[in-house]
Amino acid sequence: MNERKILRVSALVYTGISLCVAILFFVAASALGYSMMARVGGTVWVFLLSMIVSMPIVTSYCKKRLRV
Amino acid sequence: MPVEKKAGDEVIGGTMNKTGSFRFRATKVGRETALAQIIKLVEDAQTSKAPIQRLADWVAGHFILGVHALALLVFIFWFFVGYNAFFDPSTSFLLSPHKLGEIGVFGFSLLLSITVLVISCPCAVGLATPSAMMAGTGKAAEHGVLFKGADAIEAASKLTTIVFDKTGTLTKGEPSVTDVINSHPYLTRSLSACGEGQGEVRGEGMGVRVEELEVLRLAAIAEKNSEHPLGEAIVRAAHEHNIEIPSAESFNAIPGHGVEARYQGKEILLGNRKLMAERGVDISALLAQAEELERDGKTVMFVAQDRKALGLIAVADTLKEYSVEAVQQLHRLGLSVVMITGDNKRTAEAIARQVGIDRVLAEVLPQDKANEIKKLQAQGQRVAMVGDGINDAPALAQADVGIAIGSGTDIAKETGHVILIKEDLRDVVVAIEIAKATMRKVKQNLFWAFIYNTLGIPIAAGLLYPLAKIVVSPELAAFFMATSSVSVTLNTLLLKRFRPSLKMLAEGAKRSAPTVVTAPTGGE
Repeated sequence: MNERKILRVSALVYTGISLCVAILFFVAASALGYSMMARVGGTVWVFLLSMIVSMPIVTSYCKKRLRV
Repeated sequence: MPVEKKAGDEVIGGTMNKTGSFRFRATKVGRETALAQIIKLVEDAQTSKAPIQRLADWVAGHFILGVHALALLVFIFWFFVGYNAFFDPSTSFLLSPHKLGEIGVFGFSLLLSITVLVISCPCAVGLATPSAMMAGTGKAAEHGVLFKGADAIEAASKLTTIVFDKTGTLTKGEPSVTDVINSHPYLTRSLSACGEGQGEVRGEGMGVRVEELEVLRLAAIAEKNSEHPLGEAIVRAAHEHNIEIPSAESFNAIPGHGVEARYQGKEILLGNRKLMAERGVDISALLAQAEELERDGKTVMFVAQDRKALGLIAVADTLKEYSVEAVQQLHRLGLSVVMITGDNKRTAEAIARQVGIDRVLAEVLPQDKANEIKKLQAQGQRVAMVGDGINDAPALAQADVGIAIGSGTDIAKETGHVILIKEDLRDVVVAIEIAKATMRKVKQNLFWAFIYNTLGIPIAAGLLYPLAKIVVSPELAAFFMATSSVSVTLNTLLLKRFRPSLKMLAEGAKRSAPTVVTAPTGGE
C-alpha cells in the first residue's frame, strides 16, 4: 500500500476512534443528566483531545502494519 | 620520515618524491588505487555507524502525547467524579483573590484540563539539549576546537581511549638533527689550535660543543646541494647554529648510501655503514653510540674526512611542542592513550617513550588502522582517533570520535568529527573537557526541566484541590512554564564561565611567576 493510502486509512481509523470516544462521553453525560452546554462542550473537548492522542499512535501503527 | 625506494619497489600515488625523478608503471588505476580504497573505507565506516538516539527528543515527543492523554483523563475525572465530590464555590485561583463561583462542571473540568496542557509544555525539555550544545560548541570554537555536530560532543564526553597517529600528529613529521657526536681527537686539537671558543652551545633539542659543530659543519658542506630530506635536516641544523656553509668543490650523491663531497682538497663522506665499509673507513669507535641512538629510533649517519671517521650525526622525527603535556593531561583525565603508526616497532617505541605513551600499535598499514580501532571498540572502549593524514581517514571515520588536526589533509578534516584549528595537541584535552562540561549541563537542564514538570503537572491536575481548595489558573501555569525555560537557559549560560584545566594551569603559573621590575639606568 502506498504512503497516501496508508495516511487515508489511518485518518479514517483515528477519526473513528475519536468519534466513538466522544459519542460515549455524550451518552454518559446525557445519562447522568448534565446540561446541554456541558454535554456539547465536553464532547467537543473530548473529541479534540482524542484526535490529538490517537493520531500519532494510529498513524505509526498503520505505517508499520500496512507498508508492503 | 622518508623511505628509501630502489628499482623494482612499489610506490603509491600521491607520495612525494624528494630526490630526482624516476619512471614507474601504473599497476592499479581508478577504484584499485590506494586513495580510492581509503575513500571506500571511509564511506563504509561512516555508513556503518549507528545513529545516536536522541533521548531528550524521544522523551519530549512521547511526553506531549502523554500530557494530552493526561489532560483528557483529568477532564473526564473532574467532569464525572471530581466536581461533584470536591467542588467548593468559594475556591480561588492560586495567588489570586478571584473566586471560581458559578463556573459549572464543564468550565471547571476544562479549566483544569487546559492548565495541565499549559503547565506541562515541554519547551524546557526541548531547550535543555540544543541550548547546552550551542553553548558548548561556541565555547569550543573560542578555544580553537570545532565540533561538527552534537553527536561528536556526546561521544567525546564518553571516551575511554585516545589513539594518536605518530607522524605529523605527535611528531613534527619532518626529520631534525637530534645528536652530533665527535669521535676524533684530531678535530678537537685542530679546533683548539685555531683558537675557536670552548664550552657548549645549546641548540634546540641538543647540546653541541664546538668540536661537534665542526662535524655538523662538514656534514652540512657535503649536503649543501642535496635534496634528500636527511640532508636538508643537517643543513637546517647548521643554519640554526649560525654555521656558515661554504660550497663544496664537488658533490656526488650515492643512492642508498649517502654523499661524498670535496672541500679544500679533502674528501668528506657522509652516509651509512655500507658507505663507510666500501670506502674503508674505520667506524668501530662510533658503533656503540650509533647502536644506542638507533635503539631510540634515530637514523645515524657517519661523517668521515679523508677516510678518517670524525663523528656521527643522528636524525629523527621530533615531538611537537605540546605532545608530552597533552598526553600527561589525558592520563590525568583517566584516559588510556595509544599510539598507532606504520613505522617499525623500534622507532615507534622510542617516540612513545619520549611522549609517555605505554601502548604502541606499530607497523600498521593504513587500511588496518581502522581495524585496530574496531578491535579496541570490540573490547568495549570508546575510542577517539587523532590524526592528520590521508591514511588516517578510515580510522578517523571508524572511531567514535575522529579528531583531525587543522593543518592536516582535507580528507582527514572532512572525515573527522572534531577539527583542531591550531596544531596544538593540548586542544584534544580541551575538546574532551568541553564535551564533558556540555553533557553535564545537558543532564542538569533535563533534570530541572523534568523536576518542574513532575511537580507542576499534579498540582495543575488538581491533586491538591480536595485538601487546599486552590487551583492554578492557566495564565499562572503559562508563567511557570516560561520560568522553567528561563531557568534552563540561565543554567546553560553558566557554561560561558567554563575554562579548560590547561588554561587555568597556565593562568595560575603566570600569576605565581615573580614580577621583574627593571630599575631605570643612566643619567637623571
